[in-house]
Amino acid sequence: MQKKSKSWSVIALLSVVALVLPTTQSIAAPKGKFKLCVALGGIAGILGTLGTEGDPVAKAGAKKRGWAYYEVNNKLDAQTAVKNADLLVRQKCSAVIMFNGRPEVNPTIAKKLAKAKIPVITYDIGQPGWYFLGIDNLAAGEAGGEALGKLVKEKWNCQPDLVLQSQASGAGIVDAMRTGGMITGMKKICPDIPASKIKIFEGNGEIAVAQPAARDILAANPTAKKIAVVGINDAGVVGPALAARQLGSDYDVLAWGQDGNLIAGDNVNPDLKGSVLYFLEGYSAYAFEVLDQIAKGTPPKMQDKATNPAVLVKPCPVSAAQAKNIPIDKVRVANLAKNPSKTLYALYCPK
Amino acid sequence: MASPNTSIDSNENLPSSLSRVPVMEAINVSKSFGAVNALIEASTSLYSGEVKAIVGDNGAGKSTFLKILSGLIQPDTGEMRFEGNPVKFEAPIQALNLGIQTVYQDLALIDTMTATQNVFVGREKLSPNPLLRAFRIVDDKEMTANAMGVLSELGIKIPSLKETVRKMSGGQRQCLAIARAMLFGHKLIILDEPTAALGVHESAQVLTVINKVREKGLAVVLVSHNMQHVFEISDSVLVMRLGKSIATKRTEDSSTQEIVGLITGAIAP
Amino acid sequence: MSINSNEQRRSPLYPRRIFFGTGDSGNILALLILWFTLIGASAINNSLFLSKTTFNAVVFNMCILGVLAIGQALIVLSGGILDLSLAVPLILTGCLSVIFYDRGWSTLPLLIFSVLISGIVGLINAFFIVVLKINPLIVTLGTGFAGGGLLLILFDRAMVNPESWIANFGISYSLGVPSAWWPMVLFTIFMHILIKYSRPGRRVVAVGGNPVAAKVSGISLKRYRFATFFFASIIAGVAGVIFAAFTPEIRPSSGTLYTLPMIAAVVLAGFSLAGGSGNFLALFISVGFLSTVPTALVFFGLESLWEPFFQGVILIVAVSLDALRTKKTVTKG
Repeated sequence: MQKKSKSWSVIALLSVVALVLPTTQSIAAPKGKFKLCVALGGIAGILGTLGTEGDPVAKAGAKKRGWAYYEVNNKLDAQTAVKNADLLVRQKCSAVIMFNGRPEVNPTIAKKLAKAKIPVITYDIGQPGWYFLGIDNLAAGEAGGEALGKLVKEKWNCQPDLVLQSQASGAGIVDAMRTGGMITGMKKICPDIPASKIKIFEGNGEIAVAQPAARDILAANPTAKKIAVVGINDAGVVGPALAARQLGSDYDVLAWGQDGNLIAGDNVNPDLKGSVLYFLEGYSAYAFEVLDQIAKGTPPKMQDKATNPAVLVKPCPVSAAQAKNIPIDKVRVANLAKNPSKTLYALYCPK
Repeated sequence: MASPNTSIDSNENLPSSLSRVPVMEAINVSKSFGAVNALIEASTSLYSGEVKAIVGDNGAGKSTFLKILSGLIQPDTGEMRFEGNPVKFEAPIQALNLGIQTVYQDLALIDTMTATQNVFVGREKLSPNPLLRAFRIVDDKEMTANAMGVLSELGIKIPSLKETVRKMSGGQRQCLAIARAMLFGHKLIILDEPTAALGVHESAQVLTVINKVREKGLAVVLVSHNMQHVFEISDSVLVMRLGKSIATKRTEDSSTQEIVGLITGAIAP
Repeated sequence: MSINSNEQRRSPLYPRRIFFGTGDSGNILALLILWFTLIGASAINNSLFLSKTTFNAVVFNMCILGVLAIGQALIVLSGGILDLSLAVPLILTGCLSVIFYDRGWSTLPLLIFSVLISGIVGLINAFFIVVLKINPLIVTLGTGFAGGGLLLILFDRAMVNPESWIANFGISYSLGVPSAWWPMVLFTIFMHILIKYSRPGRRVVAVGGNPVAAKVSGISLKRYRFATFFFASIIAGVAGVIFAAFTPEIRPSSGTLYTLPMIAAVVLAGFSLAGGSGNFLALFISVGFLSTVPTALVFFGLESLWEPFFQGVILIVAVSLDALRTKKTVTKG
């Protein structure tokens, strides 16, 4: 019995610690003041600096508006995310920006926050009742497709031998908008590319999957040497580009990706001619479109789906050469925090 | 139960052995597993050119005794002597090195390997070519010739040395296992139930081979439940009961009735 | 102890193999017929199939899978059942070779160290299996999961320099075929000679075929278990270098792509999951067949989405054949 009560007190102590620990930064709020709360995703790579190092953009925006600011970290952990929701309720947040990499607990979190009548903006992961903010996938696809189309027109007079469409059906509507959008965009420049030259295959957005699949398609089309490649992301198009290199030096490849993952840094594949940047780390600059209206007491009507979003982030197509002049995400986000009225697109997208 | 324990092999019954040193001797060896006393001061002497059968009921300690003789387990107390000198086996390989070979019931052969490979498993001969030897390449020709030699010496016929032993009959497998033991055990061959699960014809085949091994001058000790086979092949019989070695009888001077009586306890040793 | 049942089970008249005679040569013949049937059908369907490009595409498909399958086959042959953690040394070596390259290491020490470090995974497996006597499937499933997770933490991803010799190895040709094919070819020849004609090879087969018999013949089971799991990891590490050569962005999660195909290759090649039998030349043909399937599918106009389906079907058929073989031939469990 004694032991039991002791262990209970340990648990109680631990939970207090657990509740206090996630708090990273806050601006104290006098009564009645608008309070912006941000729940970070919690792992690098998913949202760049937004994952681990806090959201300086949201903080700067709140400061500029004279709002209180409070930040927690979901740490890519379902339990932490739920605990954080309780914390946000207790903190009496006026609005919450939620990035949760464990969306299976989003309904639970949504219930808690709805009960406290706290409006939520979610990044890229849809949840009924939450304002959806995300990249405009269709525009991203079309912009990339157009950029690639221009190259295809310039180099091959709009007559590629083959267009490889490296899809990832697991991504559902996002895949349809991005890879499908790229074909649409390319056809805006080169409308006469016949459907028979477009080969759709499953690349899963992964080099190790897209590469062998593309190799087999190239083998089945041995006369095709001028190859254009589109796909759901950079890895999905670099795989096929390498497949062509493996099969021979007589291939000519133009690949344009999405997400910008493989276009930055020193190790860019020479066949990757460009990609589309989303500037994930600067999403919060867009969130103020919704937040300002909430603060005014006139919240916009609910738009909570990827297909019907509250705010669309404008994608930025960049060529490999242009990408070299764009600084890394840490620098970008720091600079954005200094210019809280702008977006990363406005700051960095090549005109 | 109350019968006195013959702690030392009654060698006076064995005139032919009087002048000779036994190949292997166990003197008052005991072994217990936890609370179970599997072996209580058991003793025996094994002589070259002789077949000794160990008989007894289930749980009499036969297989424990066999394992101690083959070096697979060590006795808790008692003394083991090899050619008159005390020995202690820490691992089976030590017994193997002394020329003691054991053929375990059912465990003897590797089904997926050929007859030759089985004969030489663990003792593969390397190629005489120094380069191949450096790469540990084996000499299959030499091994096949050696295997063939020992098989014909023992009069064993098997269809092909290059086929996996999976396809062989039980008798052929047992003979092959004994032949292997014979090739490497130049002193003592230990057989665990060599004729168990074999038909009449195959058992006869195996007994013929054991007889040939004895003629080569090796000591043989075997465990068997089959009295007919024991009387057909052995020179002497060691009867075990409740973990003790209770009697050793010259086979020619004994009878099935006497041995069975000793096993069951109907006859006092 | 029924005499008759044992007699019958061991009778030479009892049917042994299900198809194409007996032993390795029968198995190899069956696989060759299977492979050539697929090639023939594809060629009849579309004569373009018989081209150098198709040949190269199939050869590229074989490179990583083939080396991994050789490591897996060594485990199966030695009675280790299966190593489900081979994706860990694969990715570990891939990432390490990239990191060492970026630090300016020269080729030979880079290869030796990145591959040897991967061997640690095998030693960890062997420790749990040999010393703690845990089922290999459970151990390697666990190390596979834990290792995969750890790799995600250690290396978010690794980027290969497109100018490096590693990347160049992935697209270059030697003696008219893709350079990345040679590790598989050389390992096949090496393993074939090792297993069939060398003393350590014989003992690996003995340990896999009947560990108790091997032990009483003076073979150290511990030593051979440690050695086989270590070398399987080493071989998977070599596959990891090829993986790095093919994949300029190495993601730790990609390693598991090969788990199912490599098991399918080993089982289809006739390696008994019970251990102690299998032929590395047959494995080569089996990998060749499995690597031809996705290419042939494209020529038949089927989407690459069908590939996992066919791989799964082939695995189930191969495992069933193995089970039937084992049931009909093994004399005891």
